[in-house]
Amino acid sequence: MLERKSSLLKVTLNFLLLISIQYIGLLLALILTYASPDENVAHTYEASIFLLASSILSFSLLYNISFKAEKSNLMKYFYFLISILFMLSGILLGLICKYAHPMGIVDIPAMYLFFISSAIISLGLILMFKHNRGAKNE
Amino acid sequence: MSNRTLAILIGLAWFFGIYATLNAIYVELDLHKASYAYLGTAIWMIFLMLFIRKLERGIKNWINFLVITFYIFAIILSLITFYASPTDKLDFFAGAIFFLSGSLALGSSFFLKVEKEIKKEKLGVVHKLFRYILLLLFVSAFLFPLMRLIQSRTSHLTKMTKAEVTEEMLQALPNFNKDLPKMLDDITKLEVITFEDMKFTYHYKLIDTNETKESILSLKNAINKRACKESLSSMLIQNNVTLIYHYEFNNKDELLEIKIDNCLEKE
Repeated sequence: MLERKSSLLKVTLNFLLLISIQYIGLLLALILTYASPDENVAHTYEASIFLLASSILSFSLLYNISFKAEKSNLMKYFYFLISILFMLSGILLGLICKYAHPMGIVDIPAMYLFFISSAIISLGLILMFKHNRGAKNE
Repeated sequence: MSNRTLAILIGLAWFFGIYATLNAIYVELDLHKASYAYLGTAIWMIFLMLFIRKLERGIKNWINFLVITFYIFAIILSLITFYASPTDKLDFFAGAIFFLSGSLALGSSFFLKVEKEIKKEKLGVVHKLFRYILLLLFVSAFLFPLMRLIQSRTSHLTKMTKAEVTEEMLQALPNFNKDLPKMLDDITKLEVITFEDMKFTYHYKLIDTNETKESILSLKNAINKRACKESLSSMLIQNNVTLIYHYEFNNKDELLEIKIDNCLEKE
């Protein structure tokens, strides 16, 4: 019983950690794009570095989680859901850099960095499912 | 080298890294240098972590403490570059580097836990690739100062030409003007922003006010400081554009123009 509670606590902490990591990065990226402290200027390139950093960290966390075979499928789907949202926001911000930049320009390097962030997080998701399946088969 | 020595070395890297960063921010007033100091610290921490052979409970907690505080510091430093920069210029790139450094350090500790706690046979190609990337990162730490040197030597080349500045500005101008005219406060109305012949002009109208030319002129230093702090205006000044703050008073005959073409003026 105690072991089960401790495992549940760990899973919940991992989940909260993943949410905080992803949304701190996303929030800072959005601030630099739409509410930059120096007004009138959208710093999409810097914003993309924030999202990239968050996605690297999320990938490491998902990679770490993937080796601890989750008994609860529900939790796995929660990880999947929030990471998919994060991935989609990366793609969306990348498209914004190309087609709807707040300053009316096109920022290609930022677009690539946003897309790379999305790719990194999707790799983390793939690994998580792959390792979980492997652990179940054992 | 024993695990305990490595743990102490990681702690020392953490301490001196944070000290060097704070020193660069608040004493040398150089955010760029501070961000590279922070990134360098992160890379040293990662490199030392890779050599730890076994994660005993005490060492694991110690490393967790160091990397988590390092990440939290990174967030705080990023927010400082956003909202409380002690220097005259806002440097968001430095903020991004702080955040990236914190994330790399914390991310590597997750990676380290996998490496030390899971049997080697279970670790696949991705893990090996990840390890090589971390080592590559360590090597690149030595390349950063070199890159910075090259960048400083060639910085005069990165300046935009007159034609490029004009093209960029003409492209961005409709966006700057899309919400104008608008009231900035009770008396100041920003009517329009124009760009002509390397002159970027803000046209203000002062409404129902007793402000005199002298009182506005006394704000020149503050306006200069603000212009040098904002990235758009400082970028324009660096590219030989003159910023003009054009004030029109109630009485249309009375006009005032404040021109700023460099950031060297001191208060």
